[in-house]
Amino acid sequence: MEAKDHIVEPVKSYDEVSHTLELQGGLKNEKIPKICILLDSIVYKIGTVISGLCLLLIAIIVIQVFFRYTLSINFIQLEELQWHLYAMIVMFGLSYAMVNHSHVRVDIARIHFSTKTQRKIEIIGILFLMLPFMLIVIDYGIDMTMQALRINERSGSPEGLPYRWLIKSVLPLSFILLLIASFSRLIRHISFLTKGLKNGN
Amino acid sequence: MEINEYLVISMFLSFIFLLISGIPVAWVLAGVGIAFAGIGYLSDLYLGTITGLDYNTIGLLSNRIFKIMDNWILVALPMFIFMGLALDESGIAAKLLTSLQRFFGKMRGGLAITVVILGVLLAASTGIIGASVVLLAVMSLPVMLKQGYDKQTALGVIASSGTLGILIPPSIMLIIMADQLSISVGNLFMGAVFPGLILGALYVGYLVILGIVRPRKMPLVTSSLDDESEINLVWDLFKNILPPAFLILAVLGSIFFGLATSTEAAGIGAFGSLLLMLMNHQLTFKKVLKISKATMNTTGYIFAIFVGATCFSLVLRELGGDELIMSALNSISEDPVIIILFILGLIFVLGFVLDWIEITLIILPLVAPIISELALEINGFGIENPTLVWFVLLVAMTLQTSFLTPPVGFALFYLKGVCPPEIQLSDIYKGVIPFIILQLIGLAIVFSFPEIVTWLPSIAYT
Repeated sequence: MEAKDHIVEPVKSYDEVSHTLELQGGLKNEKIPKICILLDSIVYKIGTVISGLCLLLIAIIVIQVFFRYTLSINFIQLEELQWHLYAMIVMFGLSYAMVNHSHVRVDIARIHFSTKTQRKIEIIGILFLMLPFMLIVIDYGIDMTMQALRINERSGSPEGLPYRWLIKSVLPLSFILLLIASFSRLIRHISFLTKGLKNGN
Repeated sequence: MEINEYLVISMFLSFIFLLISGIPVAWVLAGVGIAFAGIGYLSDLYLGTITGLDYNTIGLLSNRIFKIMDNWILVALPMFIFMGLALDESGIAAKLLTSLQRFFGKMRGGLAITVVILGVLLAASTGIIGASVVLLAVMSLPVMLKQGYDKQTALGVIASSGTLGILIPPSIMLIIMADQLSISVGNLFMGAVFPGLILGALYVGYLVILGIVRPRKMPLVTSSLDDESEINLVWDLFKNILPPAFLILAVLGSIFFGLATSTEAAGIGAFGSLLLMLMNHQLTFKKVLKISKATMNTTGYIFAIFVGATCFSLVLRELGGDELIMSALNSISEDPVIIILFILGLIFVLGFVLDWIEITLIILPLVAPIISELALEINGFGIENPTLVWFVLLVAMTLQTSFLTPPVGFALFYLKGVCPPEIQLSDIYKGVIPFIILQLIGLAIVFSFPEIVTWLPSIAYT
């Protein structure tokens, strides 16, 4: 594997700016453990597939508006499908933004820290801030999904969509992906700190 | 002071401390929330507080997050982001800039005015300050410097026009604000039209006057463009300004006339932007995929903060944080005007360290009930919640000013990120000062005449 971070694909000039901030301090020339590259690319690929739903969402809104104006019919299913798709884009976007290094940070102090300090802070952040939160959301997310499955919950309106558990399962699933992405980040920082000197950083 | 009040204060302090350490905002919010849920539980056990926090309370999180997921209003957000990215990708912005420059090029300060106009038009396309500032800077800074513009003026114009995007509809910030405060997106969009235009007009007015008073800051072009006929220039400009203007007017118009909800308008806008790409021969599979991916990425980091803030506010509320803030604010003064000014001042300062997303999600819901209860008589022309709509726009303008203000305004750093290396941060600082003054004037105008905000929503949807 190339030493450079092949996952990071500049999406837009604005994101490129955040990338340069994010990648400051040697991340670029870092030797990334293979397992991290694998985990990141799993998250990245799932995200890429789901991002295609944006187009489907546009199509559905256009179709719904079209039907309303030409035939004066309002399909509840289409309306509900819209937020279903949006929810998937948004929730899977969390882990996608993580592997893209896009999460918003306050950089005022950070840019003055050494790479090592930055990584230590990042490790603390993942272990003590992200991890408990993710585990709790996954735990309760699974509960919520199973509950919906048990009572065979469906949309509140008679013509609405059935199988509410499907969309509810997006919550735990997307957080499991987020967990994977943050583990990958964790391994990467730890491996850098333990043997970073050998890699010429 | 009671123990839970100490907990609330230490919750805010740990949030700020961890934020400065550079950990992503979303995870700081979420993590601090969880940690203080634990602390609240322990203090119930050992310190005799009654926060009622335990593992079951925190389980409400999954319901709260699901509330974000099944929120029909927020569907507009990825759609508007998609629209903005597609407009960028279509190359329309670049074309528009060239023809605007050719049109205004002969006038003193024309280039700078171009940037303002473009900022207002593209505002619709992004609503994300970083993105519009970067876009404007990349497109117009080199041209302005080459033409011999005073660099501070050039930088000031770019930074301030770029931040207009968070105010001018369809701004994604206004959508989130509307969602948080349960007010109509349409009303906020319509309410923002005049404040946005006033700011744009103030900028242009300043540039025209500057051109007369200090002509050396904005030299005239002496180029080959002179032999072009006026008709050609006008036609060219018309041709390039029409598509994006049409798209934006269609989106806002359909909301204004009540033809579509903001969500539908956003979806149609996204579709329209794809059509514009097609017309410009830019519609390729690769580009569409790139836009979709970027949309997902942007919504991803915005909603991460959403999710984190949900956790933070849930715990803050359980600890009694909102009562504390309410009583603190109420004890400042009896005078509603002073309370509003105080809140705006607070938000201005917070804007130095926090992005609009956090402020909208954490601070706004905390102060909104106070605003609704203030005995303020403003002329609302019968719209729903006029005070809140007016207040939200004041907040939006304050935030925009805050992002421009040295030493730590967000816009300034994004601008620095794309400037040629010979430009110092201090040049940017000096450049924005006149614009900050203009912002404050605009803010004062809207503050004194709430009708500027409330009138347009009142005649909409008829």
